[in-house]
Amino acid sequence: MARFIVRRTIFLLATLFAVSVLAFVMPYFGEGDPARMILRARMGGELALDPAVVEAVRRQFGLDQPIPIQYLRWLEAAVTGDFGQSFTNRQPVGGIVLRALGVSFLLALAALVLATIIAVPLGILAALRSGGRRDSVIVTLTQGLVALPEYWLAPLGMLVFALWLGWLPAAGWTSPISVILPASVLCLRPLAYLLGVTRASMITVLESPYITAARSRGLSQFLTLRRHGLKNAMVPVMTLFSIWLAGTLGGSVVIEVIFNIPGLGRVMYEAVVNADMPVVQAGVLATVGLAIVINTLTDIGYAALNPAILVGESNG
Amino acid sequence: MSLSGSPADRASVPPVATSATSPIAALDAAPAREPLIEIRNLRVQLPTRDGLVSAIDGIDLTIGRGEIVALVGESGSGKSMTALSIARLLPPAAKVVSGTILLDGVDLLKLTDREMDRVRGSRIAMLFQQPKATLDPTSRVGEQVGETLRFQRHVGRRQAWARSVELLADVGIPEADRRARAYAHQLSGGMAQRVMTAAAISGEPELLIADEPTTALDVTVQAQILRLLTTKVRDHGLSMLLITHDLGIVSTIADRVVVLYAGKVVEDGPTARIINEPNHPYTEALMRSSLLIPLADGRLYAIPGGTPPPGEELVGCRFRARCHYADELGIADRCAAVEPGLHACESDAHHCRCWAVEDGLIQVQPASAGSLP
Repeated sequence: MARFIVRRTIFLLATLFAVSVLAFVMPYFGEGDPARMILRARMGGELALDPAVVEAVRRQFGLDQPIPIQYLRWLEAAVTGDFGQSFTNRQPVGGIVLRALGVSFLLALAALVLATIIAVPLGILAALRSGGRRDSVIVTLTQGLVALPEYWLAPLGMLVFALWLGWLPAAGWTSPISVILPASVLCLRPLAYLLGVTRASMITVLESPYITAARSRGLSQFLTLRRHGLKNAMVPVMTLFSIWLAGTLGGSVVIEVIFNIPGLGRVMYEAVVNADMPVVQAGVLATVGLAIVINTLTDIGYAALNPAILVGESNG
Repeated sequence: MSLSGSPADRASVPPVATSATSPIAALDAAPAREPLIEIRNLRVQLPTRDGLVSAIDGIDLTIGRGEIVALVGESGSGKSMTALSIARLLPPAAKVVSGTILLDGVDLLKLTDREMDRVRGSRIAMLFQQPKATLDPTSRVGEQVGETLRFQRHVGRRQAWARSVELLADVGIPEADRRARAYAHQLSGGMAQRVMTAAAISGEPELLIADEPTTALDVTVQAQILRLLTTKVRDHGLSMLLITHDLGIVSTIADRVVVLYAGKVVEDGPTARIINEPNHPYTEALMRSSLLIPLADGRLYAIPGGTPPPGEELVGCRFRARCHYADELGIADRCAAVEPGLHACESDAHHCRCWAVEDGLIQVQPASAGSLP
């Protein structure tokens, strides 16, 4: 197990390095001269730029150096947590991205945990009598959820729970209860997928010989499910959970904009619009980096759930 | 003996059949042992695309205390379904449409789910065909062996683990304390079946149902596992229902043989009789095909045709289409029209379902004469 974790961690660092190169170089493929982009961002518009000023900015930011040198300098600073200053407001980028990432991670985690808490028990209930009436009600309802677009659900949620009932704040990110409404809207689609996978996985597991064998040892259906069904059925559910968590991190732009949440999706969206390169670079690195970390943790989780997974590892 | 008695009733009533004062018991006592399991007219149906299909079509089967009964027949004859019916572990779609399964006089089919949970493990244990697949890959084998003790006998976790290690050593697993911590993927098939055996006997059951316990194992390991099973069964005085299609196994360990064909019993009787003088044409054919002795032309014998497809309307004898006697003896019309009943052969302990045998048209001769070694 320890060797498995070490291998995964080395792989993780290598991937992070590759991502950092891409994150750094990417903005250079877009607009033209970075020095002009900086000035444009600061002045907030297309002005006739003094070539001398452009030259000074270029030298000040080290943009006159070759790109590999610039990358190494950026990386050197980045490992100490310094991602430079935002072009638009001169704030340290590290702080901006970290704060936004924290908000997005919290929102995504809340949504996914909520989805899992609802989806897994319902999926198991559906699987226990698959083909029955309870099963078809659950499946039909959740398939409906997948079809509902967030930009329609979010305003509806605000209308009902904030304006009519007044239970929850309509928007913003001020108190812990601010997370409830956006997380509830965000959880519906992953909920539908998680439920489907839990149900399918549980149906397969329940037909496994080891379940019949456990029953033959005198374990009740409930005990069999708890001791032998859950762990085996949870492997694909975990995969889906981590995919959705990573995807929701950078992908909840619509929700963050509608609910006015200062998350990474919104920060990145604004940075791209304003050509704020350091923020884009750090943001991409943070989103992808966290996704890779989540993936690695999931892999380690698999091995903890099912030791047979380690078999191929030690030989390979 | 009360048919509807609860387990509590059963415990308080002394076993009537062994009582020497009962005149009925005295009459019954002669051929058979006290019955542990009595299956009467069991019918199980499975839903298919063509509607309900009978997987088991009115089976009667008795297993005496301490008796090893072999259940033989082709795939699809209803062997495994019978086994799963006794343990009430049929797949949810399968429905028992009629019959009774008495365990010590109590109908298992009438027990509540919770009562049945207490029967499994403690009174009826099972072994399966794919030993590695019957172990949960995510749980240590010692943990699984101790489950009957923990959850039926309410033994503490540590004690159950210690007992598991003992049981594993007892079924011939070397370094049992280390192996108890292993997972299924770290065991060979033979080891896994030993583990399953340890789990099966942990609750000191009265009946062990072994559904082709050695089919998936290497030939060399098969013999070891069979020896282990028979030793355990004899030592603990268990009854065993052994499902197999290997007649070599049957002849070495079974007391009695029940032959199934297309969901019905076609012949049953003491092992020596069935093996040496099979009455039913199907049993005879089964015997010939499993001996692996070449025919005159050098080929191996195979029963012509196949079992009737599920869902087909079955009229008359189910084996008729594959039976050469029916045509040779000129009774094919009768075989096709009316299904023969299970009739007693020379002894009361031997039954057969065949018109030709019932009417004495087939000269039953030791099938062994020409072919058996």
